[in-house]
Amino acid sequence: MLLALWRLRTPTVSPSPVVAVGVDGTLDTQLATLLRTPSDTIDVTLQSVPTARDRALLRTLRGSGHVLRLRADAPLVASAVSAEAEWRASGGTRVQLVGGHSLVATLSDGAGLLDSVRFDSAGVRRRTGPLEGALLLRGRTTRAAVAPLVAAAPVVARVFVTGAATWESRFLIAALEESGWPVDVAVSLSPTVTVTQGAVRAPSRARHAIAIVLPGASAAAIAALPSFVRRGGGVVIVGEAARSAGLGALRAGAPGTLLAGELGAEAGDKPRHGLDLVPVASLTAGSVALESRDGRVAVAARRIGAGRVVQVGYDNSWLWRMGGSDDAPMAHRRWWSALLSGLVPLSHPTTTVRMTPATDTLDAAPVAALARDIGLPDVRAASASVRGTSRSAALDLRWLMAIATLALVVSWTLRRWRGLA
Amino acid sequence: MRFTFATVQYESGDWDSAPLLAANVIDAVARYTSIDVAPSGAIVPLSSEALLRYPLTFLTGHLPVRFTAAEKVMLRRYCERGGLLFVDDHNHDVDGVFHKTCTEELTQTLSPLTKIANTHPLYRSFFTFRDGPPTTSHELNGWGDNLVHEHLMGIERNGRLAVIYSNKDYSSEWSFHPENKKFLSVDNTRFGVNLVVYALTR
Repeated sequence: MLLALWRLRTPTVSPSPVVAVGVDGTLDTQLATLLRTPSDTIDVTLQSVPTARDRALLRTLRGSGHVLRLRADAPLVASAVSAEAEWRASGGTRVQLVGGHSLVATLSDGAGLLDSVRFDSAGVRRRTGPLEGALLLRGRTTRAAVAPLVAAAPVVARVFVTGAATWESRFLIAALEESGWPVDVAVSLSPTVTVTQGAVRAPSRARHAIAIVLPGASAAAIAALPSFVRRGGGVVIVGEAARSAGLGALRAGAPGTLLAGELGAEAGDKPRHGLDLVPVASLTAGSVALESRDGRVAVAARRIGAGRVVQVGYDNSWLWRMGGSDDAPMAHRRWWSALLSGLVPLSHPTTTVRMTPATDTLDAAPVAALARDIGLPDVRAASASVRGTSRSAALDLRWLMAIATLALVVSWTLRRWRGLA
Repeated sequence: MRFTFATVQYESGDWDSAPLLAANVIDAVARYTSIDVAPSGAIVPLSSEALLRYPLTFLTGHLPVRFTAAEKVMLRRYCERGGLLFVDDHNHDVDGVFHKTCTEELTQTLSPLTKIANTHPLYRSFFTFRDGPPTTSHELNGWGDNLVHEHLMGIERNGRLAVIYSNKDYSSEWSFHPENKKFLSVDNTRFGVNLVVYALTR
């Protein structure tokens, strides 16, 4: 009894096990071993941010009553990555990254290094080619990996372009075709003459993924757009086309007064400053600005039903291609191609990913969802938030009580026998 | 941004030998199409960066042509980017001085000229010309060789015509005031519309 009482007052203190989360983010000790440890406290040394699996293991240990003391020799920064296949003739992937401010990391896939990135508070976006296996982000003390979302079925990414015959229509169609986009065209030359490529005069979801509306588009083509976009199609409204009566309900915002481009700027390092601009003067509810120039919204986007609408204020982007610097034709192609790639609807993505963005690239804070997905035990907290009953102490007490009870019974029995004798 | 018909000014030769042509082509485009066309043409130096603001340009003359180094650089850049230069020999000669020198300069600057097939989309881009380039009155009874030139010549870039070369003398054929079209039984400037529409849609 005295022994039991003494044991209760001064419980046995076992030395705390020290486990480490290595540079690969995994614990160096099995969970089963840790759960059997007699110590209440487990010291965890973090050499890098634990993987999602091992963060779950640490939460399990905490929930089982252990106290976790976390320590890191160097500041740790969490990171997260998402990847989604996007349509391009040669295949492509749209990547979003979020991480601690000023984190420097490398991006690679199964084929090797893709890029190096430096994070800022807004996160990082990249467009790469098709990925080989999973996408891996590696920093000094952090890593994240994801398998890209891919469509289950081949995506129809044909583009329909409609409007009057202008240099903008001509060079835009050329840029898309040079980038590998299949293009149908309905361009008007007179009230009775329309040049078509693809023998269609209006966009159809059965055939097209995206419709581009230039100034002078026909009434029939414009009338088909509301149902086209609600059924998942992407619509791009270019320049003065935003003033068309039939597009009022679709556009991302009211068009402002035309602003002339800065003469010669198309050959400089900000080529789109040289283009005439029909700014998006007031954004419709739910629209977001994608690009601005001199404080005015140049490109804006919104969702409508299952589809998306992008309003491009630049009225003569062909000037950039013709009059820009040596890489202007390629830059012009890439800019338009990237804009359209974000509009192609991917059907039935099937690949499971660890980090799932709740929003897409057209939303105002696309990386916020990724940031929320990063869950990391606070390294600065030296003790667990939950302290449960020590299981080892309870176990000892039960045995001691059993022994004490047995001792009492034996003692009483012996006295009775002596009395009878 | 509206379509502007531009005439190229080059250092050698008489680049301004057909001053009425621009107005006639502009009139034809405005008459038959709804293309937003500037009411007057522009003149742009071949060596100038401004050339790049006019994806369709016109060059003509009677005299020998020798491009300067700057003109060659700009012409090369213009054609690579998607520009289309329409050249017309104002003499409609086969071996005349303009033809010899200009074709030589184009070959050295860009690449050799090849025949444009008479079934090319150029000949049906707006009006249909079943036999290829329309014959001009100057070919039939005109100045020099009395020879009808069956084909136009061209240089392609990225699957598109970058240069169209003519020695059919459209510069003479279209050098009249547009007001006088009413006296013609067939408007002979319709091929000019094809050239403009081809440039805008191909």
